[in-house]
Amino acid sequence: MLQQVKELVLKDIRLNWRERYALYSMLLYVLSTSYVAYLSFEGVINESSWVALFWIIVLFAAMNASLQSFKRELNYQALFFYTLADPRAIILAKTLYNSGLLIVLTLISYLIYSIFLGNPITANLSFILCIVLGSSALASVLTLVAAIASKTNNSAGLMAVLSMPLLFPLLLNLIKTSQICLVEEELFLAGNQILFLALLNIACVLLSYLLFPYLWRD
Amino acid sequence: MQLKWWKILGVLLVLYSIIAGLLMPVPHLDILNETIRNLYFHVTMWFGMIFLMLFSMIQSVRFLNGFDKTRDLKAEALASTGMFMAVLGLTTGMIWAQFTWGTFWVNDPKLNGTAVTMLIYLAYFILRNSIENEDSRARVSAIYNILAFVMMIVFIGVLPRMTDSLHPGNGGNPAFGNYDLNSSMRMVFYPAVIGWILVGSWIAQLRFRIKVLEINKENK
Repeated sequence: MLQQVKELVLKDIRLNWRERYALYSMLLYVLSTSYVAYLSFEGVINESSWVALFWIIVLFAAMNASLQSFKRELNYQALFFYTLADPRAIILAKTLYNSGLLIVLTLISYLIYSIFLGNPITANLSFILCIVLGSSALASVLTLVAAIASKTNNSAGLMAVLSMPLLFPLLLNLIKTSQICLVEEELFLAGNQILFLALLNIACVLLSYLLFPYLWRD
Repeated sequence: MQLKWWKILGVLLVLYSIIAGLLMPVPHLDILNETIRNLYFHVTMWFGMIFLMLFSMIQSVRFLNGFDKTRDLKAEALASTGMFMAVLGLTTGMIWAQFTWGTFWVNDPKLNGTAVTMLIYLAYFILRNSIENEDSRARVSAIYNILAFVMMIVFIGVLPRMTDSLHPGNGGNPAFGNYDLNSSMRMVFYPAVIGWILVGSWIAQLRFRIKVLEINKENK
């Protein structure tokens, strides 16, 4: 099982590296939205708008990124994978890959965003922890929703409708945590929120682990 | 035509809660005044909704355990009845808010929770309609239903406790349970909750049966 997960993650990395244009398009998306934000706020932005805008940009980048994750698997290669791998291994591998991708993407966005709009965060360590946990929670919800949406005719449109309300609690929590990171250096003040993020992460992964096998066999 | 005991009980309890809720004495509190009677109708709707959504989720889980089509239809009927109760709960709440807080809508975690819950379940119905193949529709929507219920519980159960709310029991506002939901109000409130859950289940059952009849008619 673990072996399978490892192989599948490596396969995803290799395949997506071969088709790098998708990665570049995500980076371009982050770059252009940050620049639009910079232009529209004229470089002057208050702290809570900074936080809210950052997470909204990340949210849409995440949605775009995970929309592509089941493009291959659930179409022509589905049967092939069905005979080869355990569905649980497939969803775990996808979630892992997407989490890794999103963590990197969010960190890069943080960098680009800070260059254009400044960086009001004082508690950098807590904020990076928040980014890591938040992006992996985003990834684990979005991976399962992408799998669900890929079963429908209009997956791109449905993806937003299905995932947006589900991501609401997560997004609000991320914004709240980041606002704590604006003022406080101490880790323990954001501790409760970070614990919530971690628990949400575990719950999402567990749900996908339990539910995906039913989605997979068609 | 035999009427099951729980349906009679549900109707009796709801009737009792309407009569007693409007006639029995209530504590006189500032601002709330007589609007406190809305508690019997507004809060009970939310209890009813959450229980119906819970039943719906249980039906979805049981559907995934054996792929019995009727379970999927039951899950849909329960969810749509729960949605109906959510609309009623929202309307009663908005009217109540207008008279106590001064506006129909405030930025309050419980209200946001409600809005998100309704969006989640609307998405569930859209998902159902966007898949043509019946087998995969049932399966996919059952999976989304389970996911949706868990997320809804996280949202309305956990998040409001982390922030302030205008609702009683949050952010320094006293809960009804502390002193103002006195024993005479409890005597009406709890029966009303049970009554609405039973009546809601009955409505859902009727919806399910109508659906089955429609499907049978189509297949003929």
